[in-house]
Amino acid sequence: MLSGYRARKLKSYFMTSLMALTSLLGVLPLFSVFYTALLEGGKTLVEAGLNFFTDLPPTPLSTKLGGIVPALVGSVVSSSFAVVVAGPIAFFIAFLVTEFPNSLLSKVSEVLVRSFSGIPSIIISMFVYSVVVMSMGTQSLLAGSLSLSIVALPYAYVYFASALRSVPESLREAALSLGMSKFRVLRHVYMGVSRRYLVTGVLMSYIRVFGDTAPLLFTMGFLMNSVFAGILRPSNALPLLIFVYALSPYEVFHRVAWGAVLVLIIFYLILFTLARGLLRGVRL
Amino acid sequence: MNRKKLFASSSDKIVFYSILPLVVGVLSLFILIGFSIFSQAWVSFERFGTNLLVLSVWKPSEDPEAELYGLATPLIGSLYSSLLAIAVAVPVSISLTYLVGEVLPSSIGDLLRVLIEIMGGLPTVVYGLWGSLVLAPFLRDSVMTPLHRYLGFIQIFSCYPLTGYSVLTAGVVLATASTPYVTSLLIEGYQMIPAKYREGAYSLGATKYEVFKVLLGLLKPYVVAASLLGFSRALGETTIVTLTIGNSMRLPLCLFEPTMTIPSLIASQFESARLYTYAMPTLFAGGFLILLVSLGVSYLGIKKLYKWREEIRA
Repeated sequence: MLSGYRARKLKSYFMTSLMALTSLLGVLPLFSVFYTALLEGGKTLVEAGLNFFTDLPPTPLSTKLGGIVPALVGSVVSSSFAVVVAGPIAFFIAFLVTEFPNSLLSKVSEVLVRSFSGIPSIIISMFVYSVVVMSMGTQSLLAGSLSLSIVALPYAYVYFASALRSVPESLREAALSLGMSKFRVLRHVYMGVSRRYLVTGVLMSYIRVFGDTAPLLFTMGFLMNSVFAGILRPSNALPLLIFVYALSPYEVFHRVAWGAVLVLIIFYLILFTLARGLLRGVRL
Repeated sequence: MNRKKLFASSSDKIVFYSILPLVVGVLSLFILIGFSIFSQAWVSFERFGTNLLVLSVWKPSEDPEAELYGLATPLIGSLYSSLLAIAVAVPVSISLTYLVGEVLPSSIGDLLRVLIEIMGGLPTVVYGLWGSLVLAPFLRDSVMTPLHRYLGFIQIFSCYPLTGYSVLTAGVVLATASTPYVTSLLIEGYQMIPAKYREGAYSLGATKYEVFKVLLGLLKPYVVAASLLGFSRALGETTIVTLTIGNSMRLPLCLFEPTMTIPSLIASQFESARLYTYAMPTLFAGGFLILLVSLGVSYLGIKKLYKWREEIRA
């Protein structure tokens, strides 16, 4: 009996160690990614200096590293555009679904918005290409931004829906029992109580679209020779630049890609920490 | 709930109906996406028919009559690399769930969860660059070459790894990027299991591992659902695969061979496809197929997920 228990205990230890090892293998890539990005990207940033944020990208055979400014500008503009367009739509649909959970419309909306996250983002890129780019005759910052807006929609929805659900039922009922309409409850109770959650949702959606490459492949263009050409002209984006440079055979492009990856990771970590910090402050 | 209860006041009704056009707009957008991809693809479906599914050839030509395309390789490559990714990611995710759920003290467990969250939100292009410049050469020198040397008589290890870009590399990087997603789903489900099961198992004197085995039994449909969702994501993933799979139009009988997926075919051929009559429609045809499979699989996954949640709460 005792020996049977011992054998089981031993087996438990063995399996626990095995799974701990498997888990370690699972998170190891993250450290490898951070390590190489810091090492390779660091070299690039040190050599290029602050000009990395203000110069145009290098030519394939150039000895100087240049910078990534067109991609930075394009990324910031298109991601902001996407969050501004998709955010309110996602918010009102999330409001509809949480406040009128029994209506058919809510059920349809829930399934619909969730289905959007099942669309591969390269398909969205092809869609925007065939609808916007082909009719405008050129790839553009606008097309890229629209593409990102569609990608942002389901993400923003998930964050906003969970933000609205985070409001305690007691507060909702108290407000409704005072005879407030749902719209006033939204304005005075939801906006107040779940404010931080909402901001977190906006930040997280922003991070998502800021790092997405595939939606921009056929829509954004690849601007190299000027910082900004206008909203109806081709632009560039940080992930797009990394992707194209990683595919190229040139050494100098790989080095710029590493620098850009480091910038992207740092930016991502800052926004991520900000978003989490906001949530930590919430005590209900 | 009867219908009269839906609106408490007329102002609620106004709110409800002012959101209606928004939903209609989003619904039309969804239909428009499917329709426009299909209508662009139609020419190719009409011209090549079932050959599109069985042939494996990419032959553009100035003369439209001589053009010939078949998507068998990218279709199989898509399934192959995504299955590989899930086969790697699911055991890792289950292990992580065990550690967070049963083994680690909550402070370290929370730290691990933050780490997983960071990993999950990291842009895929970061994994792509890392996969192509760091992992591919590493796998070639330290994994593929030895496996080929000593186990080369097995079919899947039979080819000599040349560049490191291969279906194996793509599968591993895809697995890395899918693991956080699958893990957070699993942990979420694991914590929904009512405490009575865990308490019951421990009170019977079960070891940690045995408790986990019991709970994992309950979680099984949820694991399947999470795998389906992870698979659907991996299927549509473009950036990582294009950078690591080598993009070559050949059937991957061996794990170390480069091949391609539908998204990587689209990403790598889109620019030149504009020059030919049937190339672009064929890319859209591939896109339409992947859209259908992806939506179908993720629908199944979400349905299974919700069903399990309802059952475990009951």
